[in-house]
Amino acid sequence: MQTLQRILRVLAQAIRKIIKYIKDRPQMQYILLGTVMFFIGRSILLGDTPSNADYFAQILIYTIVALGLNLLLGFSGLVSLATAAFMGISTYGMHILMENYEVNYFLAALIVLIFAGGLGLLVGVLSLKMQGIYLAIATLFVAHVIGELFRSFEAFNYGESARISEITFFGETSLSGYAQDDRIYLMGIVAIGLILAFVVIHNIVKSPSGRAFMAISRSYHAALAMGISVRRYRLLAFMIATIFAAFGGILYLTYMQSTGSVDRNWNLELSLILLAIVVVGGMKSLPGMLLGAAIIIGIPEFFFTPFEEFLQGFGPLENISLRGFDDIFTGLLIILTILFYPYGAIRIISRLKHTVQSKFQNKPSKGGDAA
Amino acid sequence: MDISTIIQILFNSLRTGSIVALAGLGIVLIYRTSKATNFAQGSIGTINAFVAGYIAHATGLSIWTSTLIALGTAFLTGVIIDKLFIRPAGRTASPVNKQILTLGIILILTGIMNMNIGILGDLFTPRYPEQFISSSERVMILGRNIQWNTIFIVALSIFLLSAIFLFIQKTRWGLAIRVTASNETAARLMGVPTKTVTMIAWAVAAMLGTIAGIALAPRAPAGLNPGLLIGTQVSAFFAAVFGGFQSFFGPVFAAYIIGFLLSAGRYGMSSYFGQPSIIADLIIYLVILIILYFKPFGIFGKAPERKV
Repeated sequence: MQTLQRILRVLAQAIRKIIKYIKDRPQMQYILLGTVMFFIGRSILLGDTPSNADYFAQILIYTIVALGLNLLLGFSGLVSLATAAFMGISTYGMHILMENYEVNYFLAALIVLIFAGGLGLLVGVLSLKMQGIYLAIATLFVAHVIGELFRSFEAFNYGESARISEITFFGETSLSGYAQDDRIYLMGIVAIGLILAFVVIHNIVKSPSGRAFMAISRSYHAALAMGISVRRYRLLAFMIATIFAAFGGILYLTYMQSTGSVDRNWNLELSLILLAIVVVGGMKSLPGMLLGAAIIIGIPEFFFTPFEEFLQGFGPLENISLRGFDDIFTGLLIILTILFYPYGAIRIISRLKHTVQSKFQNKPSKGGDAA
Repeated sequence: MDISTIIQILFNSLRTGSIVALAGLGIVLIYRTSKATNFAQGSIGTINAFVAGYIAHATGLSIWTSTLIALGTAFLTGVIIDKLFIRPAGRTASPVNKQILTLGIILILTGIMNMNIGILGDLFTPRYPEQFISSSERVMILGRNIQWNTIFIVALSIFLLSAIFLFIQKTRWGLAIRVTASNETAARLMGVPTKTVTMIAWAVAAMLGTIAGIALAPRAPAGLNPGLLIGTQVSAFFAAVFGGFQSFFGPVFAAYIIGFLLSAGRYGMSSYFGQPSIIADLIIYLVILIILYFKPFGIFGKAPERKV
């Protein structure tokens, strides 16, 4: 009996040490998070309905894009409506580079990222001289023009989606979206991308630039008075957001093996959904983005469709369709969050944590700070 | 290029400019009175244009009567949006938050337009509504057949715009709008019912957007569809920025300039260069952005004072 107790005590100590190790190293937390996400994705792929894995991959990819957008919206208070258009640029750009010019996957990705950053720089320089709200107008125009350009030229398949057969890494390993095993690897790539995005954004937020962003988000005028060049940091935030959008587009192409279409994927609606992820998840919170994506993408995809089938089971409701309800759900969530819960859904979790902790430590609950 | 082509371009640009001016004035009205950049202007107009198209299609009423009914629903839409979403945000909400609110409204309206429950599925079926005046009614102007409908739309817009300007400049309520636009807190302290002013601004903006939608739909490439006014809205925002958000007249003037540049540019791009007309849009808007880089508050605007 005593030996058992001793073993248990040693085990508990070891677990406590591991938890402390992870707690001290945020990078480890993100790696852990990414690994967990990969195994969830893998179990969906190996489960009964592998088609759901597409939605799960979308959640992860939109989380990455939202991380970049968070820097723009949460930290510098700017709205971009061209996020989806930048994702479209990168999927079509990758497609053209890889299929028409037979460029190596990694080189193509690099070119696309640099191009997106350059485009972000151009749009930002032209629109950020004016008041902050003008960026939204300029990006609305960019999204509109990019959509029309895709529809007008054959190189972009007139805006329709174009498939790629497979993706070749290092000239020998090739992954095809049709093969079950390969899709697990592709999910792994998306998960690695997620970890990478989290770590990069974490480092940006904790760097001196991140503190400048934080200052701007608290008070524009105070930041200006402290000698922070607000325009330069806003430009930087917009460039990072476009690069992250392009990165998300690359991962979309990698996983879906299709460019997606302008009308169904890279439209204003998706830009608004990405905005909703940032707002609902909780501005300025990094884990909030994953939570936001899970709410905004996950709930309509995983719950509305089964509910529709459930309703159709009743006689008079045979032809009922819940089309459009996902947008209304997202729109209402944006408005309700802005009006009543400005710190977003992540606040619920941090409050819960505080309540639990204070229960165990017998301290009065103080309510959580925004994560 | 002969005279008849010039006449054609001129009337096209007047038509485009009128539609953009209607949508743009709505955006400026809302911006001035509630300090919100209303990105939902296009969606509000579209959803009510659908109502007009459906009533004309289902009941056989003329497009004139259906337009009047749609203007009623537009008024209601504006009031409801102001009451439910904008006013609770209050004066303390930052401009960005109000902007995000209007983006949420776009999603809700898009969702409603995609719904397929009961009457809604039929209501929001893409269709081509009739023109105000049948396209067979034409008039010869300098060797070019111009539709009376085009002339009517231009005349109607100019009449509406002048009426609104007169209203803003000459009446007590117009004074209330101008006072609210210049300083809301002071206006409220002086006894101006700013809430009513804001509500009316939203309602009028919704009605202007609806007229723009109904005027545009018969000749739009895809007819009535949820994305009907997106292009118009982009132009309207550019007109508002280009003319200066700080004036009511500037955006309307800029709308006609942009309408002319777009019509001429698109015609030239497709007939002389054989390129898709969107390239013309791209070049024109880029030039406007570059002009705005040097004159950030528009050609008629002045820099607002900044207070800490």
